[in-house]
Amino acid sequence: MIITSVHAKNVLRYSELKLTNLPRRGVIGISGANESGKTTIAEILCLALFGRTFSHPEDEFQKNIKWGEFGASVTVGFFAKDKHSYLITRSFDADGNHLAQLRREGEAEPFVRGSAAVNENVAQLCGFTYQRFIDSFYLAQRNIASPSILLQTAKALAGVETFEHVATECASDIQTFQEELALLHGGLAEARRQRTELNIQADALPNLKAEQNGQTTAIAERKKENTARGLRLDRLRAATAEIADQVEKTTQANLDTSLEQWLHYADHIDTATKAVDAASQGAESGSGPRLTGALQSWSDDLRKRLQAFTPVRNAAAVYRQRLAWLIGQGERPAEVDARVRSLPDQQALLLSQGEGIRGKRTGPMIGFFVTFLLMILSWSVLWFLNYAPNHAVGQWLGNGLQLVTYNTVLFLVAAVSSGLSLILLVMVFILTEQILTARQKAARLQADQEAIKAQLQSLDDLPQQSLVTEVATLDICDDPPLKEALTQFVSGPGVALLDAEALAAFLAPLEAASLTCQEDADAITRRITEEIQSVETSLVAIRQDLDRLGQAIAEEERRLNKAAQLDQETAAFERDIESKTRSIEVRRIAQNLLSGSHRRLLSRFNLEMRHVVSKIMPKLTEGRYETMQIDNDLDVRVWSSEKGHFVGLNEISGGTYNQVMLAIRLALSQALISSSLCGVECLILDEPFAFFDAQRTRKTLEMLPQVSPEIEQMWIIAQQFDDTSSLALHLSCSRDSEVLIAPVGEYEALGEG
Amino acid sequence: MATKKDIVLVRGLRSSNPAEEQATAKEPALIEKFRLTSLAAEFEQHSQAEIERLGSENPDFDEPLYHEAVSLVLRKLSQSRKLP
Repeated sequence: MIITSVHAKNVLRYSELKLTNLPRRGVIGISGANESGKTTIAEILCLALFGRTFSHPEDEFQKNIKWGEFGASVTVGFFAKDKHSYLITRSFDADGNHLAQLRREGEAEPFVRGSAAVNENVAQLCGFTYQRFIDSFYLAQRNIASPSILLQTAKALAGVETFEHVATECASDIQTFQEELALLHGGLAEARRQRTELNIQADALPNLKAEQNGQTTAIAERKKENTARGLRLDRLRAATAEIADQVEKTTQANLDTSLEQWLHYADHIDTATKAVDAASQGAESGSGPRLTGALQSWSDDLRKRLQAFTPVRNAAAVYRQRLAWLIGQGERPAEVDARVRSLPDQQALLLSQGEGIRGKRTGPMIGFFVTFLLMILSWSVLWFLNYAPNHAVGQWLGNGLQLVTYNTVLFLVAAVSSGLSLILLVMVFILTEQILTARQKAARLQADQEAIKAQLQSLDDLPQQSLVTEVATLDICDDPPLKEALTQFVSGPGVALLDAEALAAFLAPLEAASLTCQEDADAITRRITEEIQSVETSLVAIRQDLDRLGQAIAEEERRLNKAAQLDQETAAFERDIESKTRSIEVRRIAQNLLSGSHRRLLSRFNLEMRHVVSKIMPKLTEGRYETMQIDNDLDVRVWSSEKGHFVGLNEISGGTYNQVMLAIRLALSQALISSSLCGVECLILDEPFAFFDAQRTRKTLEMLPQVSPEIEQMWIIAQQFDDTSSLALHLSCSRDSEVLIAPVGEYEALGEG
Repeated sequence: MATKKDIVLVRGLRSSNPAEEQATAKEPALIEKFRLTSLAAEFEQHSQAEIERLGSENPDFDEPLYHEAVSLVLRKLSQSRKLP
């Protein structure tokens, strides 16, 4: 930063300070007696750039207003490191108003307004803040003799301050983490305590669920059992009703009941009793005596009686088979002699014989007709010849044919033909008689077959007939085995079914058995109903237990969820604690590393300081002191060429002390330029030549422009300059003047205006 | 307004001889450069040396922890250097 212009009004002791066209390179000397306003110029620069002065802090900027004035303003032009020129203007009044703006030179409008924003932009443009400027580029008279301030700056420039700042941040982090750790440990302890209080048993939930599953299964099984009981109950009731129905139907049986109907009754009673037995049997219901025992006994008795009719039916079947064979239906029965022919065969044989006789009769019949005609003819010729010879026929026969001579022959022929004709006629009659006889026999056989067919039909119809009718029908059959079987049935088991009184006696026990069965079935029904009710009662208890288990499971799951949550919290706490502990450890290590680097950094900085100071100090001290060293305690020592060792600052003269401090300041300025990449800079030295003799002052003034290529502009404040030839500009201040304007032309123009 | 009485002596003294000015400008500067060490580089070098030393002395040395510390400091240094 190079100052190019200053224009202040009513600031400190100046009613107006106007410095324009300031040289950018070289020494600007400011001289004057005490209280003449030399240092004020430097303070006005500070005020413009940073909003404060060395004498007054930022919150007391009103104290910079000239005594007796209400407001003040200051404008400073400067050339920044970005190679642009800027104008910064601040105006303030006694009421505490402070306006600030920053604009580029040549532009009418500022690009920044407000004190804070202007301060921030100035820091960016210049590369340093007020404090860094004060420490490096502005060597105020009051701190020139204080090495500790300079050395604090050295510490800052060396980066130690930054390291300390980082170390402080680490310490702050550690403090924060430790506080957080305390909270985390508290949270962890609380989470663990709650977790312990939960007293989670690993097998508790599985046991509860197993118990729940068992009860659920028990409910399902009992429901299934009750469903089965209900079904059994329905079946028992239905079967009992069926028994009652069948018994009622059976008791309606009489002598008109057929064998099939009896069998049907027996079958239905058996089916119904079996259904009742099946429905009444069950582990829960007990396995007592069968309640259908009497019914079944009666049914068995009936079935035996009916089965006793089987031989009759068998004999009837054999008889029927024989009859059927006789009429040409079916195979020949084994007991029938092979020589015996069936009626159709016999009939066919007779018809065949008749046909044969008929064939034999043809010859005699033809012979009869021939002989008969010959007999008629011969006798007729004889009659005409003998008894009507005059007759035309007689004449024709006698005269025409000349048969009279054959009269005897004719007679013989007539006699023989008459005899033969008679014989043949007898033969024809005999054969015809034989044919008729055969036909009559065949007709009888046909009638017999028809009768047998009718009997077969009646036999076939017997199953639909009553047992009594069947017995009566079979009884008239001409078959000894059948009759014998029938006799055995009728005189034995069949009596109860063929006699009205016996039938009534036979049916009587059936009703009693049915009633007994009904009563027993009712008892079983009641027992099953009781069992169903009992199971329903137990189901209520199981369901209640199931509800209890559900609640217990929900509670256990809630506890497990809570435990899982606490485990997660514990894990999170442990992770956080580990993380925080590690962070603390990292920061402690960082502090240790920073501490080690801090010493190393200071050593390197001191080395460079010594190197830089060794370039300046011999020039300032005419070679009497060559270099310096700063130890870790910021104790400064200088190398005395005369003594050949380092000496303390308290061992050197006041002038030399100031020279040493000036050398250090110049080195620090260079360090700041290097650290903040400021570019070309100005340096303000307030009374650097105190205790300097004239020669030392002159030599210093000659040397200063050569110190650094970056420090192009130097403002040097002194009581007086004996030789101003090396100054680029000399400003002379006076106690009697509140106005300072340079160059003079500006004033003249102002005055003329 | 400033008056004539307030005028103080102001002398602008610039060399009118360009050759003299050139000769002055050609004189070498006493300080060419103040070689400031990079904080981060300095810290890194020191830390690396320290890590290697500790690693050689202690087989159970937690090197990642130290590297984490170095990264942390470098990060904080970077943030600090951003401030004016």
